[in-house]
Amino acid sequence: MQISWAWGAAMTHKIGKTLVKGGGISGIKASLDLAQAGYQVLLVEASDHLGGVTSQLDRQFPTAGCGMCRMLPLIDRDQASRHCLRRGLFHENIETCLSTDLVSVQGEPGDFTIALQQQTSQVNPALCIGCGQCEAVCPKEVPDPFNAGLTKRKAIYRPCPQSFSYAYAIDGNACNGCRACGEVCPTHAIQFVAQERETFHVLVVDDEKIVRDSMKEWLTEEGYQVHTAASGQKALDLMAENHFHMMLTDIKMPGMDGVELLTRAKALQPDIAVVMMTAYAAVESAVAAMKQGALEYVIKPFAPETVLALVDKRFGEFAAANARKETVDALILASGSDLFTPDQGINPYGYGRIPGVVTSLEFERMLSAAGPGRTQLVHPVTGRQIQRIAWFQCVGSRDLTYGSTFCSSVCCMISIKQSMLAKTLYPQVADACIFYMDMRTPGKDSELYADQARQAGVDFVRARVHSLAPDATDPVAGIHVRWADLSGKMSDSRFDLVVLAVGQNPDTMMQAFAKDHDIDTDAWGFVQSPPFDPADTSRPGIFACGTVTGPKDIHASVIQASAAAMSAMETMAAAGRRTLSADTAPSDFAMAVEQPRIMVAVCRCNGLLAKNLDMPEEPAPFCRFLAQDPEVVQVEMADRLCESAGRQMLGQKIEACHPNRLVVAACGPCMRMDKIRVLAELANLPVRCVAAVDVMACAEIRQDRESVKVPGHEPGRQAEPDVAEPKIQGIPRMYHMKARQAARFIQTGISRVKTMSLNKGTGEDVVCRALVVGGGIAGMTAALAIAGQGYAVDLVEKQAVLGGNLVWLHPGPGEGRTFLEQQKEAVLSHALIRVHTQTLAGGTTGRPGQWTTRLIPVPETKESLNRAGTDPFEKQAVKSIDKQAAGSSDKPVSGSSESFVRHGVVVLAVGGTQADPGIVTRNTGPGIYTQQGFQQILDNGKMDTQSPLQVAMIQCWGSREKDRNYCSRVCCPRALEQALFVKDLHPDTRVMVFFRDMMTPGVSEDLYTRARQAGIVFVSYEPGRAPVLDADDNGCRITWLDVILGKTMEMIVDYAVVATGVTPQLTPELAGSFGARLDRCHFFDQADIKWQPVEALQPRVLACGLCLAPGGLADCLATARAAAARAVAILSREQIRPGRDMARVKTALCSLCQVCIPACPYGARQIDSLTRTLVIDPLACQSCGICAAMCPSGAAVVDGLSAGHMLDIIHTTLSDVRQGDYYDPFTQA
Amino acid sequence: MIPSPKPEKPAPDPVLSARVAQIKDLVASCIQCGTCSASCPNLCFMDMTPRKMWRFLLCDRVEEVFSSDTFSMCSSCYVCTLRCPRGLPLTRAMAGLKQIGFHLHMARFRRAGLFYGAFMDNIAQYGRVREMEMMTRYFLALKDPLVPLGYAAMGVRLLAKNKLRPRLPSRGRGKLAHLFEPLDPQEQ
Repeated sequence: MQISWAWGAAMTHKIGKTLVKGGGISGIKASLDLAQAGYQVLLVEASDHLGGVTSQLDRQFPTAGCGMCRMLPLIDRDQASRHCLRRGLFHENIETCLSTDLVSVQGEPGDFTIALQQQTSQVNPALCIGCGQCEAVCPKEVPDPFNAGLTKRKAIYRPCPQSFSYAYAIDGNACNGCRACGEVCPTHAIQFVAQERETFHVLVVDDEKIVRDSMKEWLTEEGYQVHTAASGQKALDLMAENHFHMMLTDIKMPGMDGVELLTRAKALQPDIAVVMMTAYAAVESAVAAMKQGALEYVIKPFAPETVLALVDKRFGEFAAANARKETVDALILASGSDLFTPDQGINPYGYGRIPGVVTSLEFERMLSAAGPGRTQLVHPVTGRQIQRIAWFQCVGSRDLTYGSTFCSSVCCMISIKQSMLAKTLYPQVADACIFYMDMRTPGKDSELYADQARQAGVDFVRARVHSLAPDATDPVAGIHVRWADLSGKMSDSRFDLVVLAVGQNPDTMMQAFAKDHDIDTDAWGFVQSPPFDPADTSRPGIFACGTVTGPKDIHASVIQASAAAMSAMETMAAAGRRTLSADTAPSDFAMAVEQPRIMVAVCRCNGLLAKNLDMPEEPAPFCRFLAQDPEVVQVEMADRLCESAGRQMLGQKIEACHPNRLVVAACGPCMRMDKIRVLAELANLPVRCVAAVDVMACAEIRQDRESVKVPGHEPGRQAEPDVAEPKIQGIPRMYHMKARQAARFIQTGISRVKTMSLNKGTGEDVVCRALVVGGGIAGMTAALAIAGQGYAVDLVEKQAVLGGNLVWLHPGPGEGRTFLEQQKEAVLSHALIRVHTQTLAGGTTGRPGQWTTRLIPVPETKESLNRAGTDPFEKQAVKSIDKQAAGSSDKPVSGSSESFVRHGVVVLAVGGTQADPGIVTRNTGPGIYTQQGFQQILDNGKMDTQSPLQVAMIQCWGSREKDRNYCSRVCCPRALEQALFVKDLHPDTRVMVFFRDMMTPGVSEDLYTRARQAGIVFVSYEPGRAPVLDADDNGCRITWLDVILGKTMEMIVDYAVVATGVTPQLTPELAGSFGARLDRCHFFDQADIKWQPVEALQPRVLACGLCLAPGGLADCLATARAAAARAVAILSREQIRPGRDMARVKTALCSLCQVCIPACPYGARQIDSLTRTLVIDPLACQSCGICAAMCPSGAAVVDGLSAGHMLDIIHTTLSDVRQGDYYDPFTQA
Repeated sequence: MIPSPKPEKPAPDPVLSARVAQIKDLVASCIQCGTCSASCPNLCFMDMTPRKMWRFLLCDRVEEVFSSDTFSMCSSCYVCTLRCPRGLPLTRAMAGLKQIGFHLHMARFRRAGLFYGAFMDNIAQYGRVREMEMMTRYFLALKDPLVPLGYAAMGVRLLAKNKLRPRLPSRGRGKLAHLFEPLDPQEQ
């Protein structure tokens, strides 16, 4: 009864659907998170490829490689394609619309009506096989935007060099309409369908020929279909034959006048829009015509723009009516940002004028193997090797003259990465020099990376170059750079290349969209998020992530994308939407054990197969050769499998022979997951029983190798069918090498389906309960988000009260405090959240996903209650108590109230505290505070506000060096806030801030500007030369070496505030009990800093807040919601099913020697303590196969990559190399 | 150890500090990037870089600012103003410092002040500079017979190349007085 009710409820609820605008990194991540949680996604991208600007960046820091594929789903991974994301993204739950604009959004959360407009494609993506013949014949060459204009491409082009998934596209602006491409296209994919404007018919009626002709010229140039008529009657005659969308008519005409024509035209075609053209004299009649239904009138003489604006407007309405309408529940805006173009304004660096001045994006393409220099780093004009490169920071950001007062956040790290790459990849690069104002390396890994760059020989020069001039001796290839260092000494140098680190600017299209849709933007034009909702916008149900909300790096974008996905899930849950339950696993176990009956279908590809592989149309010996395999029941030649007609033909053949495996040999695009899926449906087989082989690739491989001289072999020998050799064992000698190679390729496909995994299709059950360790704001936010999706949560907090650092950060009434109280109230009153305060989590047992964790009550001590908000200078004793508390977690306290919780995921949110300042002065005295202690003085109003004060703030105290070599991100903004607050108390108060680099990335740069304007003095110091504090009972003296002034200065201060940064509270024991680790700075070690930023290698272990990475409140909230999104994706599954290729243990053979456990780089293997067997976590295993190589007894295997299959592949690859095999490998004994 | 909690500073001149405060406001959001110093064509004649001088000004070390002649070397070419990433009116601030030096009759800027005075008188009278007359007036105002000797060699060279044309001074104030009158209150 209960089951039928649940079924009924599920049927009545719609499946949640979210639209994601923008297919860059954030858009892809948000889509994948939603898709993994079982919601439907409509991914809309305005350009012709996914990946956004990241698709143009080949390598990212810190790995100097690309890890985009690490975003691919681990949960039900077979739902998605498992290849490089630059090649394309396919997921069952994601519908991707490329070259599509989101035109309008109406409605409210849970019921948005959206209109999508797709640019008309001249190339049919379903038919295009990407052979590139069209490109070869296209006569038109234009600068390639993908290579930032550094190379040329044809008017018909492949949108992204790595893609095999995307069809070619025609650049409408560049195409000259010669149609040469259409003639050579083997699949007739190029259709020259009318552009949208060509379908818009305009009728111009005027008795003056010159008016008719000029109007026709103007409108035709804009792409409209224009007809003309000299009189009213002729116009009506034309209207009888054609349908017109718009008519422009003169009023005064002999015979029938314009007003009468209007009446009669409206009678004929009521939806026609009519514009009256009139001279001054007839304005009254024009007004009368308006009353009769004319759209508008224009007074002669008029400028072309006047009429064009009217036609464009009407066309817009016409196009909107044709747009695709959809209903979605939520929207995520992720359409990215623009880059500053440095040739605007005064252009002091001569971008566009001096040949060697390039932007960072252009340099990124120069480093790429698909870029202009291929594998060489050469000057864009002279083509000479580049030896000396300079990077200029803050071009178009932190610049008040352009209105870009924010910091672009990413340029410093991009320049460091580029300099490292240039130095390491190209030995000829002798000099790499970065000119900067503040080297902004926020976050936990950036500082170390900058140090590595210094060690690699990259020069960091704190100077701003004012302008550039070509070098006097070598004006084309050389650039003369002159700068003043901090002491005022002038230097100059010659560089071959200057890279301008251009800033991210808000996208103007997005600004217009936001304005039209009541979405608030900030002063610069970025979409503004409310203070405590890191991915929300001012409009409910619409969320934003990535650089739409401000300049951001990949790491922050990916986190915010997950947070936005979480918000969208909440909206959909609130609207009562359900998730797609993953299709019940097909029972392919029976199919896997039964004798394979393989059918091979070879697609003729419209004759292209024969042409490219030099073999006949009906290659009977070829088919016979493939049919030699006893398990191959049939080899069929098919044609045009990309079209439904071709597939139907194949379907009939399949029905005739009932295979249980299918191998399709066709072109590259047929390997796309969506196409394989269609074929699998056709054959009524599980997807894993179908293999696709790209035989067209053989054509290319051969072309490269044909130059190899082989005795007796004549390259390019024409093929002839061999009918005179009936007892054929291999492919006849007459066949070209390409055909042989193709046959071998197909054999690997056959071997793949033969050795398909014996997967039972059942996974392990998910324990639908989450454990959140840490009751700070991050932990509470994560708990609320998970519980909001209907999953039970246990929240464990060591302290007696929830709130963590927010308790001391917001002690008094205010926005922050209200938010904290609201969250606390929500957590405590939530039915699905069990809160355990004064409790430690410890002693976890069980395997991943089936953990049982012991919750141990902490004995209540007086000090532990007071711990929050103590200043180390006031209470040195706290440390020892802290140690006692930490010790108690190792030895569980035996108590009756101890409990156990069984959970499937864990979110570590234990937070962080202010770092210990260590020994600050030789003498101790009053007046020296940490930031936290000073904040308490300010909050309690203990400060003397009557007289002006002297305040010194020292940043980076003990951080960004030695064992805490990371920037804590929070101290600089906090110091600025405190300085401004103090300055407000008394205007004559003098505040000095001593800094190494002011870390105010993004819009917090505004705070820095305000502090400067308020008269706060900033003094920079070098590492190792920090200001010295000297204190006694009389006061505190600060002494520093001022590099700019060139002398040692001193000041007596009332308050000296040291910013010590954040230190995480995560213990290795806690992380280790779930199989996670700490990184070198004692933060949570992420699986991947950029692409999997909140997960450990074991994806069920998540972290957020300060124990994950240092950051402000907004960062903590974003990570908390991102972690929750990942947790929900796991909990939403009833079962975690193993993927198609997955490591497996043959338990009977396994001797439990355990060599495979440490060998697994993903920590996927464990001994189940209950059953004493080796178990593999299907979420963590990446099927790398190391375990199979390590196992001494052959117990570790990887399904889908069996030894037999791998040997087949090796044989195929190497058979060319073996001399004896070269001719006819199949006839060898 | 620490001698006294706070050293007693001599009371600053109220007129001076008020005027300096105005200039300080102009450059308050300076981030000391050094663009002004690197781009200044007269840097080699300055005893401290503009950046250092702004730094002294922002630290309220007025005495150091006026003990240097950096600002008096500014030739108002506006390069630093154009290049400054903060968009600060540096040339205007330089001019402001010059005015303070001039109006407060600081001994250090006597020569520079007299030179500017002679220059402006010349401009007010003729609408352009007559070099010979301007320099004569300047030397007269200096009341130091040794100074002209230092310029003698250059004067001879310029005369030899026909770059200077000795002319007798015209009489009267000229016709340009009404152009300059409205500016006088602003100058004050």
